[in-house]
Amino acid sequence: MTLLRTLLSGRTTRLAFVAACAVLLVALFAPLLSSWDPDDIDLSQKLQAPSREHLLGTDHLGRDVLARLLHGARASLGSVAVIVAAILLLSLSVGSVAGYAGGMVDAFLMRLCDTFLTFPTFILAMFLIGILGAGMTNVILAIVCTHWAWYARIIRGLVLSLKTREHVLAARVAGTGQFRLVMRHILPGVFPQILVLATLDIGHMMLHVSGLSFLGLGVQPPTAEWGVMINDARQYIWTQPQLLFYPGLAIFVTVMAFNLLGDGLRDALDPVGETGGWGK
Amino acid sequence: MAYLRLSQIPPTEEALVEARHMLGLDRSFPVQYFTWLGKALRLDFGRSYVTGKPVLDEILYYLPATLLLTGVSLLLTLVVSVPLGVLAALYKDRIPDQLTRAFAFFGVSIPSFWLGFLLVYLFSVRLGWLPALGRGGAAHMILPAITLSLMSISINIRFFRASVLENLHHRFVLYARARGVPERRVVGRHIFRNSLIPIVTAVGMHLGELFGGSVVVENVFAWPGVGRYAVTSIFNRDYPVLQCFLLLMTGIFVLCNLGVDVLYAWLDPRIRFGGEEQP
Amino acid sequence: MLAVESLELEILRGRPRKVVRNVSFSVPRGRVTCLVGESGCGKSLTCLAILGLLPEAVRRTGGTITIDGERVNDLSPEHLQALRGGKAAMILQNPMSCFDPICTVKSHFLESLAAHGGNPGRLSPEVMPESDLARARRSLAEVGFDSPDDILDAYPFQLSGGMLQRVMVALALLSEIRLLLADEPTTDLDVVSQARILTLLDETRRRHGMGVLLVTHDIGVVARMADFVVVMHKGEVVEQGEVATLFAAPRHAYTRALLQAHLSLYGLSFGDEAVGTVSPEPCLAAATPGPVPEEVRIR
Repeated sequence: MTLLRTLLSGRTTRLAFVAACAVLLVALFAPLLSSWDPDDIDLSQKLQAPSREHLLGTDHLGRDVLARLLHGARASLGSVAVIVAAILLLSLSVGSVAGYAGGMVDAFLMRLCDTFLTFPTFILAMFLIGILGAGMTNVILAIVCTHWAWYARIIRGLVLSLKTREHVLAARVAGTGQFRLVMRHILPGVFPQILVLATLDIGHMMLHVSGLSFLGLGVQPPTAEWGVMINDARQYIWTQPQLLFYPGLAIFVTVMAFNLLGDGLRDALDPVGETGGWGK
Repeated sequence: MAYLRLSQIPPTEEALVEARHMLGLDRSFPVQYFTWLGKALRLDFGRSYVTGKPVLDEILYYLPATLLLTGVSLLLTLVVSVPLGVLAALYKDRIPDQLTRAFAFFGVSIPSFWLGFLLVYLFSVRLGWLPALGRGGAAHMILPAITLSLMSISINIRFFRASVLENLHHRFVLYARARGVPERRVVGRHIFRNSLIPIVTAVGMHLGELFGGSVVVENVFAWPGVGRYAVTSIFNRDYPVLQCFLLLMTGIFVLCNLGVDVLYAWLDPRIRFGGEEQP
Repeated sequence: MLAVESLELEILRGRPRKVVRNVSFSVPRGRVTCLVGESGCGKSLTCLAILGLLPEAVRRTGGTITIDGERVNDLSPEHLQALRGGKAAMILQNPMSCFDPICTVKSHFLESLAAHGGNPGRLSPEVMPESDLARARRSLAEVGFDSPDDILDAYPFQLSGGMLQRVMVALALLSEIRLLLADEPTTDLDVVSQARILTLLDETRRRHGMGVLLVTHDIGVVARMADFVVVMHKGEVVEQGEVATLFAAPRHAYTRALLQAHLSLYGLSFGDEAVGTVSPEPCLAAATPGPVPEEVRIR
């Protein structure tokens, strides 16, 4: 709770926190917030300007833009939540095993990580989707594949440094079992830092997901997703530019909120001791 | 065969068998893999399923456009982010720093495809100053390059700011001042050159992001590069093209990082001499 | 040579608080004045304030500093720059971190020379003019390097801490300085290098007749080097005077504690006849061989 208080002491971070919560609520209660079905096609109503009925107008298939925007939050947040959870699970297990076991196991796992780190992430993700086929599940799979190695490396480093700390050594001398030692004494030290990293990365991953969807490789139409909406709207840039504007703004605001939140979280957890002095 | 694919006429059984044999798909997986690997090592990535032409030739045809775009963007990134990062660090917590940091926050949060369309809308649709799509003269370059580099600029500003801040309080800076070395040289030589070292590595790693970003940007601006070609190939399930694309981009990426390592050693004598002790 | 009068320094981070209060002392020409006190008592900040090198978070709120008749507080940035390394030079503790790791020793000399009467504008070490090179060589030879050219061509990380400390002295000697500020010059060195640096400082002082302000927490160093002693405690000067008087009859409780703590390392105490009557002999004896393990010295 003290953490939350420190976190919310900054004005921008507080704003970001509110924005992120708002997006989360929108994602949870999207169907209640709009009376329109986001996938309800009505060609007689296509490309309408904003009105009382359709607050943000309709798209090229006569679907309500606001409803699609609200439901789009689900796709973005949902996919990122799954991605982050999967990455954490994978990297925590690989990273802590490598860091704790050391030796051959460590060497093998780290070379494995290096292999993944050799490729430019977005291009590898594209390749994987190209092989597996387009779709949300494969996007999630591809992004997890391309990002877990970064985390695994960092976690390994953290575990290595924690392994030699006094309290861990003490627990070890006291005869604590290996599994228990890692779970009780090492991972709790690793977790906060990884959480900060993950929060800082949420925005980045959202951009990945919507970018892939924009290319037509991610969420498949007609599902409402912000990247897909932008792709749908691109041919109307001359006539209906607002169709491009709203979904982009939604991505931008959400990503910005999570980035600011991650930044605030990092500052709150790790108040950098900038004394302004000359070190020794 | 390309005709059959594109016309979407259901292929006959004989055609399928013939195609499988021609593509070597009737052999076992390891055989296929090693055949492919052996050929790939000789830079033979096979032929495109769609056009039937050698994949490498196709990709090399599109590659210059992509390299041009990423190269210009990299240059733009360095030219903009280095001075801004230094400025932000030197004026830490004052107005130049706050403005720069706000800009960097916008930059890392904005989706490049959206930014691309916003720029097109503003400068092409509304103002009519710049061409919206395609490749042509220098004017065609402006919008895609800005779109592609904004993210890198923002990330590198923050990185460079942190790097300069770290060196700002180094003791060799204090000692240089204590010796009466003019402030311009303290900043320009000691702070700046030491801050550059981690930046070089970061920029090398960052090239991967630029390559990835160029795929999206090429699609926004109909830029005739490999990224756009690769996306088309995904829809056509043209796997040889994809494989070649991945390997080629990774190869360029690795080569660039090799270059970065050389540059790194040139900048940092500690790497060059391995910190050995003398007399 | 140097006069510090009622100096006050304030830390701005968090709630502003005074870290140095009403500090006054002077450093006469040709003599060594030691500024003693435990870590964090404000002696290093005082030393930095003399050349106007306080970190951002610290501000001078009162007092004056005069070097050779010039009030440092009133100097323009350009004059201040000319003063640093021109009239008053500084050598710092932990020499390993004080040299730019990506510049050769030569280029450090080059920029010091450029700042103080050498050939300006020549920024590449390859084209260092012969006259400048000769000055650098002479200076390095004076601090005891047999082959100055090897040192000039080396990168800082290729030299040992003791060597770099001597290079610092050599850099200081490039100009005809009147005042040498040495902030804990022996702290991070091994015992042999410590003795060597102290001898070197003493010799240079004799030869050039400059005033030396030696900041230290090591009573052994004080006993060996000092003509005058200024004792600081919690940001204030608690006692100052000639070394013999002060060691013979310390008036302030803190000074006594400091001496006592030092002596007790050698199994002596204040009641002992040697300390009360004679000047700092035991300290001197202890300081010269100086086999004091790092961790038991007074902090």
